[in-house]
Amino acid sequence: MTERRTTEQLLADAEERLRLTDDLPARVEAIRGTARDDARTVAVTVTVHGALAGLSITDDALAMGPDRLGDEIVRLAAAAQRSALVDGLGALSRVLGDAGTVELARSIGLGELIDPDAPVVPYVPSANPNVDDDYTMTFDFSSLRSDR
Amino acid sequence: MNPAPITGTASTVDGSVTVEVSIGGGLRAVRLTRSALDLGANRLAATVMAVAARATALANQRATLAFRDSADELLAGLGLSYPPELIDDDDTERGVLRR
Repeated sequence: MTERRTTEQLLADAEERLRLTDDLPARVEAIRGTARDDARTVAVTVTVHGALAGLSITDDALAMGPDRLGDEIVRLAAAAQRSALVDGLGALSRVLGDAGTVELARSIGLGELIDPDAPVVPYVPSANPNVDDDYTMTFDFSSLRSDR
Repeated sequence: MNPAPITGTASTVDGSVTVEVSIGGGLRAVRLTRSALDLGANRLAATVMAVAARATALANQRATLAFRDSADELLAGLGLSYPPELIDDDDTERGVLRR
C-alpha cells in the first residue's frame, strides 16, 4: 500500500510537477527525429508531428527515379517520426508517470514498447523510480532509434 | 465508418513536385515527375521542403476550421448556444446592452 504523504510532501510534489511542466511544450516542440536509407543517399528529419524539418538528397539518390525516391522520402519520414515520438514519450514520461506514459504510448502507436511484465509504479513527481534496483525500465528506447 | 482524414496537398506550379500531408505535416505521399529530378539533388530537396510546408499549412488550416465547427456543435448540443443578437453590441439610440 502506498504511504500516505504529508501536506509538505504534497506541496513539494506540486512544485516539482510545475517545474517539470514549465518548459515541457518547448522541449517537445524542439524534438527532431532523423532517418536515413541504408545507402545514406537520403536523410529525412521531422518534428514529433511528422512535419519535414530537414531533407537531404544526394545526387546518387536521383538514380532511384521519381517514384521510388518519393516513396523513400515518405518511408524515411515515417521512421523519423517514430524516432521523434519515442523521444517525445521519454520527455513526457517524467511528467506523466508510468500509467500515463503507458496509456500515451498505446494511443500513439508505440504500444509494443511496453513490457507487459514491468511494474507500473504510482507517480510521485519528486521520486525517481529508476533508483530502485527492483524497478524495470518500461521502455527500451535504444532499440528503436532510427538515428544513425 | 471512419471520417475521411484531414489532409493538405500542395504542388509546384509546373506540377513536378506534389506533397500530401496529414494534420501536423506527416507525409502521406511525395509524387515526383521525371522533370523534378532535373532540378538537381539540392534544389529538389529544398522544393520538397517548401511544398510540404505549404501542404502542412493547408492541412492545419482545414483542421482548425473542422474542429471549430465541431466545437460549435458540441457546445450547442450541451445547450450552450448564443443568440447572435445578444452578442452584437446594442447600438440603438436607447441601447442598454454594452460589453
